Amino acid sequence: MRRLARLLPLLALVAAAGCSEYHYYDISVNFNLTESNGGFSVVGNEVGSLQVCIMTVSGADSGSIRMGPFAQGLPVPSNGQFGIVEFSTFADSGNLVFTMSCYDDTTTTPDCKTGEGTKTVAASTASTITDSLTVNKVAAGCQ
Amino acid sequence: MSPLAPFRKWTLSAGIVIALVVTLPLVGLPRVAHADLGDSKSTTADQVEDNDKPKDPSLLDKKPADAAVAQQQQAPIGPPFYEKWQFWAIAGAVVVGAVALIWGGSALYHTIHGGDVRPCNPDFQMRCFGEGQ
Repeated sequence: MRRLARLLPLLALVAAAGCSEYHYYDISVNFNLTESNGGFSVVGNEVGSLQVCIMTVSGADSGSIRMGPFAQGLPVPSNGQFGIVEFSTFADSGNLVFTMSCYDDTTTTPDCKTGEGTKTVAASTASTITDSLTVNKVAAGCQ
Repeated sequence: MSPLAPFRKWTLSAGIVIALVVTLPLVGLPRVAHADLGDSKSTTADQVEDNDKPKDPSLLDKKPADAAVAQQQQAPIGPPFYEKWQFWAIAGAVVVGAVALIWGGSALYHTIHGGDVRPCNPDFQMRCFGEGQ
């Protein structure tokens, strides 16, 4: 009994620390190709001129990934289907805000940003959460 | 007439004094011979006490502590500790225990903190980021 009593604080500490579990947020990214609705022009394959895209996460967790140029799905296919970007986190509550910013130059200055999309996802205890995000054209860029 | 005592009377007194001077030491010598000098069992009360050597024989007996010390001093000196198998058994157990504790602790820490992250799907084209990546 005394040994058990001595172990109780350790067990309580482990229980208080909890066991972290990864949660994966698979965000399917598409580019809006409807120019009349704030999308990129299909003529001239406007999405194909994008050099760099940066996805940032804020809210319950934070992170960012820089993609491109000529890697990780860039340049964007002409059909606008970029694919899935996966974010791993221990967060299982609150909201995760995914923001995708794309630039038509490797210098990711604000004047070179041409596309942006945002999606807020409620964090969950599920192992994998899937959602989608659409990138719209926001500016002409610097090229 | 001489004012001094007669020669015959002076001679008699001197003889008595000389006799006493010679006799008294002879009478006292046997007592000195029997005096307690520490090696006699005499308990004569009128001798000077010998404080250096107790008369109680039990005080001079060897105590158990003396025996233990003597035994320890006489104990045979064995081989060095590092030549004993018990030393290496304990040392090995300590090393193995330390390694197991470190390995187990790190494994437990890793497990508590989510373990290994899922590998990035090749279809995602290295577009995985966040915790564990």
